[in-house]
Formats: sequence, C-alpha cells, structure tokens
Amino acid sequence: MWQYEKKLQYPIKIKNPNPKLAKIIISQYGGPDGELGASMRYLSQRYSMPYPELKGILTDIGTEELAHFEMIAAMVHQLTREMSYDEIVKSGFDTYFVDHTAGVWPMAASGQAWTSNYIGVKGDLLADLHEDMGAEQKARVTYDNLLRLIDDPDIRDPLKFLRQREIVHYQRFGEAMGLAAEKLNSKNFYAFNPSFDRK
Amino acid sequence: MNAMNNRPNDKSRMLRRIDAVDFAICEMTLYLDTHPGDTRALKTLEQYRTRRSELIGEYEMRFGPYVVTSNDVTGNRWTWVDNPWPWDYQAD
Repeated sequence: MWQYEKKLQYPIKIKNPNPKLAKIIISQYGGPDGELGASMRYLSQRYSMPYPELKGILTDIGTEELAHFEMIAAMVHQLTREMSYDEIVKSGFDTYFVDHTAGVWPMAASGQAWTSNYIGVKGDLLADLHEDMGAEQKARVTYDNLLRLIDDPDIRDPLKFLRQREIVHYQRFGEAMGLAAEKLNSKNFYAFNPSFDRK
Repeated sequence: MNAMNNRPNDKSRMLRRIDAVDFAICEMTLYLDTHPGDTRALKTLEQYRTRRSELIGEYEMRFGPYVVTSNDVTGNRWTWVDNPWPWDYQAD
C-alpha cells in the first residue's frame, strides 16, 4: 500500500508560465521514457523477482518514480496557469488545449498517448534488470534533451534534480544485477535465468 | 494550532529542512536495498529517521497535517483538504 505525503519530493515554483515548454516537458509525464512508465515498469516487475533485495529496490525506486511523476505534473500545471486564448494559439498549445484544456494527461511530446507498450515486464530477472538499466539511461537522455531546449532556471533546477536521480537509479540497478548474477548458478556464464530450465 | 503566529516563510523553510532529511533517507533506502548488511549505513539511516520524526512533529504542530494519518485531527475542521496542495504555484 501507499501513503501520500502532502509535499513534492523537490519543490516546483515556476514564476513564468510557458505553455510551449509544458508541451515538451509532458513527455516525462507520459512519454516513452517518462516517469509514469518508469513507475509502472518497476512496480509491475517486482512480483517475479526471486531475491529479496530485488523486490526491495524495485518497490522503492518504483515508489520514488511516482513522486517524480507528480513533480512533472506540477511543472506542466504551473506552466499552463492563467493562459490567455491568444497565448494558447501563439504557443502552439492549442492542439493540446482542444482535447484536454489545462488538464494534465499522460502523453508523449510527439503526440502519442501513454501505453504499456513503453514498458517491459518479462518475468525474468536478467531480462527485466537489463530493461531497467536501459530505461534509466533513456530517461536521462530525455532530461538532457529538455535541458538543451530550456533556459528558465525555475524549470532547469528541478529537471537537473530529476536527471541526477536517473543516474543514481542506474547505479542501484547495476548493483542489483551484480547481486542477481552472484546468486545465479555460477556455472551459468551465459547468465540466462535457470529457474525454468530445471526438470 | 497557532498558524497566525508564524511568519509566512517559516513553513517553506521548515519544508525544505524536511525535504533535505527525506532526500537523505531516500538515498540511504535505495543504497541499503542493494547493501542490506552495511551496519554503518543502517546507523546513518537511524539518525536521519530520528531527525525526521522530530521535524515532522514540529511541522504538524505548527502548520497542520503532513500525512493523512496524522494525529493532528483536533478542532472542528478537516484541515488535510486545505490549500495549497503541493503542485499549486502558491505551495510553500
């Protein structure tokens, strides 16, 4: 179960609304490498993990990703506050506005709705942990790209925080992979999951 | 509750202190997940947890509930619902 804390993991306070930037930042809400996918990926992979450390790390990183999901929503919400119709049209936000007004809907910046096809849950610890390490790197690149496109320090500061978290998560998944490899049959140097192959 | 006696920045300053301790706890948690036998890390986590419960206790006394299960349900209003919510621009 989960319990809500009435605060963000890291504060978001964006002085200047900017719907054009909201339209690209939303990719980390519901895009292919966004926080919703991250959370769903890890929280769904937990159940087939054979070792307690792996259940723990997926639960705790999956939970932190929900806090990041909320931070991204807060950014989109604040960037789209008090918009005039003129601004909506000029910023190009009109294509989003017509479907969602100023609601926050999980989608990619390039237009696609969030889909579980963005995440892998293979039921195999090695396949899943490899997916997770790749996912953290892809999320980091997306933050790199956002930082390349955005100058406002009020937006850059929390984006840099989130980018750093991807790096830490990658490190922890790497350690999890090490633990998994140690516990698997040491003769199994091709590192496939032997649990299904015992007869 | 004596919210009237607090300066406007006190709440945000206090939240930033909780944020910092929470961040340390978050980091220690993930580290311990992959290093569950590290006794030094366990001791560090314990210190941060003690500090956190002190800070949260002080926060709830002065500014209202921090979690929905908070013991601070005295008075005649369910203050949990009160603005600002964390994503509001007006949030501390």
